[in-house]
Amino acid sequence: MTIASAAPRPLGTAALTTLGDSEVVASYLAGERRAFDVLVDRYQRRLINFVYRTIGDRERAEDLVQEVFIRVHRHLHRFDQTKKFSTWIYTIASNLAKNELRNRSRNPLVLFQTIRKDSDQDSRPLQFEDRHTRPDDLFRKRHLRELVDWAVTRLPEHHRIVFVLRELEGKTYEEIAEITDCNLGTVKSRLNRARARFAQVIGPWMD
Amino acid sequence: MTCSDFLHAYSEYRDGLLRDPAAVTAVEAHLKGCPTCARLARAMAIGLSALRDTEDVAPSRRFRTELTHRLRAEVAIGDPIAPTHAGLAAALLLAAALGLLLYESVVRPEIAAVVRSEAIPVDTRPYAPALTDVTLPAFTHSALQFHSQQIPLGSYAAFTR
Repeated sequence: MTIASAAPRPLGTAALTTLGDSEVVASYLAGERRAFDVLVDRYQRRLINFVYRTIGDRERAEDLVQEVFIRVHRHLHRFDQTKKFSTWIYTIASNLAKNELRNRSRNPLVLFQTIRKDSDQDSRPLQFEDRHTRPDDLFRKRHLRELVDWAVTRLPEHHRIVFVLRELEGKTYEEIAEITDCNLGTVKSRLNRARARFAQVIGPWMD
Repeated sequence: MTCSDFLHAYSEYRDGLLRDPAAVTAVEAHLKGCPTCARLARAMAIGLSALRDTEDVAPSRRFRTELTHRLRAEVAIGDPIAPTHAGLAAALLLAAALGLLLYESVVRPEIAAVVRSEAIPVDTRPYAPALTDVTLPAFTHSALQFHSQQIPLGSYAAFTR
């Protein structure tokens, strides 16, 4: 057997996509550069939605998720491969989202930009998603969607992150505790308060 | 069960994490008997369901393009300062400096001798000089008088007017 034939053969992109996160990470660290693209493909949409739901600004969410991948790329060699990659990447995203919310609370200019963006969206014509549904149903549906989106933005920052991770990302209490660096009791308490507040905000429109 | 107890337990009840059967029964009984909490639970159920039905946001076209550019820039910055290259460069620089020093002391020993003889003496005392070691300029009453005479009273009065 020659040395060349003993070396591991590089995997094709299709083969990489079938691997679990930890194998893809190991593959990237072993020199397979395409493995990073697989991680981006796997997480970009989920992270953009997570950050968008948390901060309420789509363009900024994309910028922050780019930053997440840059940080992952920079520090992947230091990632403890015995841990779950998804928890690690969500921790980075959660910290960036938290920083963004804190910066916004200090900078009212960003709030103005958000308001302007919202008014731009309002000027779009109502689009009919389903021809079989009555317009008043569509209106109610769209109104409800906007209402629940708005209700999420009314939650305090540390409650909002826990709420989005649970309700939209479907994370377990244990995963949320690890991502937010809180104990299980704090996660339960924050989630409980966030849900109650969410229900209080939308309650008057439900009758 | 009070409304406060209900609010405390309802979140875990929703997630099926309330293990105690008695607590589950108490939550359900309160839900039937209290219209305020029932209204809150209904709003929560409808709201959370609507939230989960919200369509996902897809990454824009610029997202991947920009990310690719940024990652390429990271790689471009990262590679030239790879540890092996940086170490090699440092070793070469050190060798050049040592070579130059050796050349100067062997080929031109007279310069090295001048540099040695003109070495600045270094104060090696382990303490700062005490105030008694320092000669302070004399501070006399006449010196004060001299300065006070330089400011005419008239100009001071004009300033304060």
